[in-house]
Amino acid sequence: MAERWHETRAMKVKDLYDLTGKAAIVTGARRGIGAAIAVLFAGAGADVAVCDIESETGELEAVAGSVREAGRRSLAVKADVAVKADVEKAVGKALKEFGQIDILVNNAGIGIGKRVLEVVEEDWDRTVAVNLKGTMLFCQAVGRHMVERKSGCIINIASIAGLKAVRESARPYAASKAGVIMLSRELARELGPHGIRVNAIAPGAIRTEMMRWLWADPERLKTATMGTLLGRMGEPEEVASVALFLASEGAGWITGQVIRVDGGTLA
Amino acid sequence: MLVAGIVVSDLFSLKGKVAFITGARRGIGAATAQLFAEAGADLVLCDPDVASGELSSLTQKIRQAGRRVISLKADGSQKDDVENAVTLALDELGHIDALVNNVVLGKPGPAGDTAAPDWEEAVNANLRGCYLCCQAVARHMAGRRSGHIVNIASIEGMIAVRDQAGLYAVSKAGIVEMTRSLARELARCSVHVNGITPGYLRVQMPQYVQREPARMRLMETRALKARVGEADDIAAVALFLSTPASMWVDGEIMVVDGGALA
Repeated sequence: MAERWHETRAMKVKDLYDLTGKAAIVTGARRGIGAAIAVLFAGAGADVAVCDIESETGELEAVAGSVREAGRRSLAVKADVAVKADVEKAVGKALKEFGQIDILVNNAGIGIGKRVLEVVEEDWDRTVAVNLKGTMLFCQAVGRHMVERKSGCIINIASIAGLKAVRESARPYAASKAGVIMLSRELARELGPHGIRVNAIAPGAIRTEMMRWLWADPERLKTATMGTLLGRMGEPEEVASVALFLASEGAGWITGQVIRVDGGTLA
Repeated sequence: MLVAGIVVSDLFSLKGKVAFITGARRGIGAATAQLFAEAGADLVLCDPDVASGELSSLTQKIRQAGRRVISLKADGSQKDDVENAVTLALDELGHIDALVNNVVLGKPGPAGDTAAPDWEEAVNANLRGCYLCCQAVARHMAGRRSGHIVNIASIEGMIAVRDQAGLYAVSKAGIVEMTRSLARELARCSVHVNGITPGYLRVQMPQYVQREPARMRLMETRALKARVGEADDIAAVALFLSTPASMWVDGEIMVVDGGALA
């Protein structure tokens, strides 16, 4: 086998991390991390369907517009990820438009900022319904299609709150994100034999609307970001570039993993 | 293509960068060298074994592709070797932007096996070698407040494989923890430190995996059944961890094993 050692594939960097000819669905895409992923994927060559529960504000259409500006096809779909009929309709529309789905990014999520002893049943139910059940429903609907095609890639956006208990986190949120991580691992095992990769990303504090309570408060922000690279928050684009890597051939041997994107917060 | 201020093709580029790669003559090191060169980097390639000719033929191949390459005999576990290599690299190429530590002692075995390498040998090659290279290069990177370090360990540094509780695993686990600690230490200097723990790759198969039932079982439980892992798969992750694409990834251990540890 010694002679094989120099026989590496002629790898071209631009092909390794490229999404040309791929079609993706991104949930929770009207702003923040979801929007950054949708637009970056388009920049890397993918057609992108963007879903969000909120479609009245014009934000979702604007993201779809950015995808089109990059020269790619796009589709804006209103969907509540916690409602099975919505999910199936959204996936059906994307399939009709693109003919295939190669990449699914489950990014839709909500955070209700309460401690366990303060949580009311409705907080818990809605958090778990959106963050965990919603992820599962999309994985199921798109996973079936990917199994038929014997190829595909699923990226679930979890959180470092799903890996470690931190003082400031919203508890039902953390529990639901831990669920997303394990769901990703289980799915990686289930779908791996069909050539489908499933991974999770665990972002730290990222400058999004969800984290406004943190970055709008300089004292809190300082404490929360003390241990990170450069002592700052992360940006949505810095999560998007990891999603692009995971969606690409460059991550072809990675499945069932959770990648922290937290500037070293939990190193 | 410019997206929200990001040039997509720059995300995975090493244009104008210098990468320092140890254990470079073959396997993961050689694959990484070739991919990094393709991404635009000039290279410093180190290996303790230059007699085999593998390092010089790799060097020639990369030079033909138009990159500057220094290749030298260096044993990562020898402080003088490491410091000489870093000094030479800085003299010739001016700076080091990425370090890929790929020192591998390929003789794993159970702790009770007297034929297995002893403590000095295993820990020196894998752990001390990795440490010395990190230290020498990190000093330079910390001064420039910029840099990416990627340490290659093994999934055997993360889980116990039956009958294989040897010093190989111990030294690889040491690399994993050293990576996390260094990330914490160097975060304030904007130096990224991450690790890769590869599963069993095709290049290792004839060496030892196939002969050992516990390793074969672990290999066979991987989720991605259609193929086996290649050195290229690790190189592609090393490039991600050395470029702006991983700007916010630090102190992370990327398991690249086709889903064996899922």
